Parts: sequence; C-alpha cells; structure tokens
Amino acid sequence: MKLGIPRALLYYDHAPLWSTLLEGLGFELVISPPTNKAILDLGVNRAPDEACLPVKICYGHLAALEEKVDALFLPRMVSERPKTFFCPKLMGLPDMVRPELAAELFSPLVDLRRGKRELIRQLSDTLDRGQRQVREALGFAERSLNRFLKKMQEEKLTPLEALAGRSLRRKASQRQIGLLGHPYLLYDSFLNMGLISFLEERGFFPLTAQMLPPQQIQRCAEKLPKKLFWSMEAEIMGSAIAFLEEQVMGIIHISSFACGPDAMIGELISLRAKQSGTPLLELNLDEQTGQAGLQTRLEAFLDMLQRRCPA
Amino acid sequence: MKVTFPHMGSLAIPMKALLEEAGLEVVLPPPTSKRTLTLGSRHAPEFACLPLKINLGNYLEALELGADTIIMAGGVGPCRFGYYGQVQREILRSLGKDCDFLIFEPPAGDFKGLASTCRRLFAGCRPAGILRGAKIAWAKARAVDKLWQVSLWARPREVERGRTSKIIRKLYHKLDQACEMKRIRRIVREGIEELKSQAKGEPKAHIALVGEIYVVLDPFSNQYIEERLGEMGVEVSRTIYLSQWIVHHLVLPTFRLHRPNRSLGLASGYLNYAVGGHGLETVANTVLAARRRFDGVVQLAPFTCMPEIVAASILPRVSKGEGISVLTLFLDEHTGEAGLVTRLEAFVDMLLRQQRQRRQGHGILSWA
Ligand code: SF4
Ligand code: SF4
Repeated sequence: MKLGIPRALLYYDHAPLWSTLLEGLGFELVISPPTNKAILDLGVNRAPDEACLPVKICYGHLAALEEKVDALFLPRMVSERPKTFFCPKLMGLPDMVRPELAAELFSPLVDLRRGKRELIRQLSDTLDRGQRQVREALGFAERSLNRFLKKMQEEKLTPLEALAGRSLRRKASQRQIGLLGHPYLLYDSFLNMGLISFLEERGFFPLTAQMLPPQQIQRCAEKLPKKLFWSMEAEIMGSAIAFLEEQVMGIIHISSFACGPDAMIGELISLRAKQSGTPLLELNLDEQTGQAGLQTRLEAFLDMLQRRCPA
Repeated sequence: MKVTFPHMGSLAIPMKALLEEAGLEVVLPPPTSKRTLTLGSRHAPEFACLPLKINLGNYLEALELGADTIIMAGGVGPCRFGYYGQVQREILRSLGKDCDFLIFEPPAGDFKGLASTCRRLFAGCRPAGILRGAKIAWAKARAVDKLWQVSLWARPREVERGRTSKIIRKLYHKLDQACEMKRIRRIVREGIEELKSQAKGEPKAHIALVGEIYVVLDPFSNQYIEERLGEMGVEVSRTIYLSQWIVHHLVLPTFRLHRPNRSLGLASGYLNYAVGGHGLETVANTVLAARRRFDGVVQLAPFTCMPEIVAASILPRVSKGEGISVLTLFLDEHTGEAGLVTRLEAFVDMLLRQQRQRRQGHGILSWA
C-alpha cells in the first residue's frame, strides 16, 4: 500500500520516526516534494482564509499527494510530553483536511500524556497492523529519531541535511546568529526564501534550537516563572534564552502571520532581547510575503550587526 | 491593598461582591471602552487574542485609578488563556507599572500554589466574610445570567424599541448594590416579571450564538451583538454563560473533575477532538441548533483564536450537512461597527428570505 506523507508541519521534527515506523510496517512511502509555488497555490486555494501559512502549506502538500497514493498519513498531534500540548490547530487538522481529500486519511491520535501503550494501540488501529508488530517497529523508529536528533545537535545540521546524510560538520564561529521559530518555517527554504543559505553566504553562522543540547534548552525554558504548556513554544523560548546566554550576535525570529502561540512568547522574547541588548529581527510570513521585502529587511539587519561588531 | 481584575461581561458584579464581602478594597476598571481597547492594543503583541488586549487595557485604566493588585485566572492549556497572566505581567513590568499580579492557577493535583495565592490575597480577611462573599457572589452570578437569558427572550418581543436594554441595565445596577440574599432573589423575581410584561410580539427569527467565551460573554467586545440582533426582532440563544464558566473553569478543575463531554457526540463526524477553548462546543452547538430548527447560527471568534479557527473551517460543512446558515465573525481592534452591522443585517435578511421560501415550498407541496 502506498502511503503519502506531507513534507509539512511536524515533518521537520519527526520525519525519521514516521518513515522508519511505516516502512517497518510494510508501507511504501511517498513524500511530497519540497514546497513550491504550485503547492503553495493549492494550499491557499483549499485552506480556509483564516488558517496560518504552515497549515495552508500542509493542505497543499496533501493535495499534491492525494492522486499518487492509496492513503495519506497525518497524525492528530496532541501532546508529546506530560503537561504539554501542540497548537490546537494541529489537534484539529485531520478533521479540517479530511473532507477535501481524494484519498483516505490515516490520523492516529498522538497523545503521549496517555503513555506509549495507548500510542501503540492507536497506531495499530489506524494502520491495521498487530500491536506486537507496531511495538517493534516503533522501537526502531524511536532509535532512528534519536539518531537524527543527535546528529543535528552534534554536527549542527538542519533536519534536511541530517536526513540527506550530510556529514560536513559546521564549525562554530564568532558570527553566530540565533534562529528562532517553528521548524516548519525555519527549514522550509521556499517559505523563508532560503534564509539559512542566505546567512551562510554572508559569512554568518546560523544556530537553531535543533543544534543545541536539549538539556540546555530545557534548563533555559525553566527560567520562566510558569512553564509553557506548548512543547514547541517551550523549545523556542528555551532556545531564545540559550542564545542570549551564548551571546549570539543577533537573533532572528520567524513566525507565521497571526500565529497564536508565537504571539505569546514573541513578547517575552523581545523583552528579554531588549534587556540584554541583543538585536532581534522579527519576521512574519504569510502567502503574500515578497522576496524583495524580506531580503531588504534581512540585509539591513545583517548590515547593522556587521557595524556593531566588525570582525 | 487595592484590588482590581479585568472585565468580562458582567463578571464585575459577582467578583466585586466576593472581594468586598471578604473585606478587600476594590478598584474597578472603568467600563471597557474604545480607550481601553486602544491602550491594550498599543501595548499587547499584535497577534495576541482580543481578550488579552482588552484585559491589559482594563489593568492600565484601573492602575490609573489607584489599584495596586491585579487578580487573574490561569490555566493549563492548550489555549492561550492559561498564559495570559504571565505575558500581561511582563508587559506591565516593562511599562514600569509597579503592582502585584496574582494569578490563580488551577491546581493540577497540587494545591500549594493556589493556596498560597489565596493567602496572599485574603491575608487579614475573616473566613466568615470570605464564605459569605462566595455565597453572595455565586447568587449574583446566577442572577446576572438568569436576567440576561430572559432579556434575550424579551428583546425581540418588546413593544418599545430599546426598553429591554434599559430595564436590564437598571436591574444590573440594582443587583450590584444588593448585599443580601433576600434582596437578590427579589430583584430576579421582579426583574423577570418586568422584562416579560413588556414583551408582546413574536420574534422574526431565532439565532444561536456560539463561539469563544470571552467575546460571547462580553458585549463590548462583540459590539453589542445580542442587543443589535434582538432589536432587529431576532431572538438570540446564547450557549455560554458566566456561572457555567465559573463551574467549568474555576470549580471543577480545582477538584480535578472534568465536565462530561456531550459535545463530542454531537460534533462527531465533523470534529472529533476537543481542540481547546470552545472549539468543539462551537461545532457541537451548531449541530444542536440545526436539530432544534433554529434559523441560523452566529459564531463569534477573536481574530487569531486557534480553537475557533479550527471550528470556523469546519462549520461550512456542518452548515451544508445539517442545513443551517452560519455567519462567522472574527473580531479584533480593527472591527468596525458599520461593517459588522451590514453583515448582520444581510445575514438576517437572508434568514428571513429562507424562511419565506420554506413556507412557500410547503405551500406548493400541500397544494399538489
Ligand atoms: S503554532 Fe502557529 S504556525 Fe503553527 S499551526 Fe499553530 S498557529 Fe499555525
Ligand atoms: S479561546 Fe481563543 S481567544 Fe480565547 S484565549 Fe484561546 S486562543 Fe485566545
């Protein structure tokens, strides 16, 4: 059976987990191509106007896949850790997209607050495989996820580089710029118009949450008076504080226009950046964002950093 | 200590009673106004939800009047409300506002936090006063809701335009002044009488109001939609009330109880998960409204509200599947009155047209 996985949303966080699991269970996988103009247009067309850009993009990736596969895989992401959640939109997404789709949709509930047993049961039900088999495949999948995370962190790679098996270890440099944002914005180079390579071409060294030790992020996130209950925002917030600790030259925070959770931590981040005197550039992306405008703002920001510490 | 808290519809009536009976000095924020919203929006994150912005404006205006302690509820997610207080506290601090910001967190198994916040607020208050305050506050919360409910029934039937709104304002004022249980009961009894006695006509249509709790409960934030619809001759049924919110958000979580989720069944097939806030309820209540043969549904949602965006993207299908017209209104500080009124009028016109068509349709059928 051919199963389609959209290269959108949590793909950038969990890709090896799902691909190892599903292949282990005997599915043939089709992953949608990197986001392009056609996918963006499909998504914007299908998704409701009020949805944020990443959600629209996901509609687009599903649409690009639906004719090519027997079924699509989009889990209902609720929680990956006790006392945390994903954005409510990710919880509702399978119900939002399902009626529009030409292919069947597999959307197991991923709610790790309820423990792994329940996850296995969910996967086994939606994928129609025995629990034993799922448990075993899940074990492999988790190990490959961990290897992936470790590789990104140790070699300072982006998810796509780690997946492609890039082994070039990035050298730390003085000219570090902290990048903040959901992985689906940071690493989708169509949406952010090649931000990471743009920085590298100018001789800056991009640092992201995925390249930091998780313990450090967690320790930093715990500095807030109240723990954030969104795990992704906790990671962004924790890495923001870590970047300030590491004394990066500057910070770029990419978020989607009208993103709910980001609006909350955005304020906390900008207050902290101001306090520590670290320059912060906030970029909001939506389907109307033009390349020219984005680049002008980036250039101006980088020029300013350059002037502050000409190295 | 001069205590204040944000407005949310008529929340101030019971809250003030509770705090004052307990022996605290209360400084109410002035009623929410354009100025409140402007102040709040200026200092809040652009994409924060509308309630956060209005809260912030309320605080700033109350601080101007001398308040020095703010109280606010917390939460455990997944929706943003649970983190409002944290963000608001930091914003106030960055503005150099010196005040105590007490956040009442629902104790997820741990009462220490809640208990210590309570001790800080009620330090020096007599337990008897607090208890009495709680009792009166609860009675007032129920009274506020009961009268409002009757007013929604009465307004489209009122003989003299605007009379119902005048009466309800007067009744709320009286309730606010009342400090004995007997008096509260009398106000409710007589209030219901008075509201009903001036209602003679028949409503033209029946609309259910669903959506995010704050904008449903707070007439300023929804541009007085219930009044506007009522005065167009439409009976409005609201699905959320303050006293219910108190039970669901403050009382039940404290005892780690969960509300039974009837909504899952109703919404099933459209939305199969509780996505935080009132997203699931919005879908479920729209289904319910269709089954109860309402003429239409109005969904109210703050711009950028995640659960309501999920619901809004599903409602068109509910509308088709269940055969009910739905109008979704996203609200923020830029929502203009004129635009909103036009959309409401167009919606009501459409409902009336549908009604006529249905009637004619039946006529032709019975003729044949
Ligand atoms: S976290 Fe923000 S960008 Fe992601 S789905 Fe939610 S609203 Fe959209
Ligand atoms: S329900 Fe919507 S408006 Fe209310 S706090 Fe949550 S996101 Fe904001």
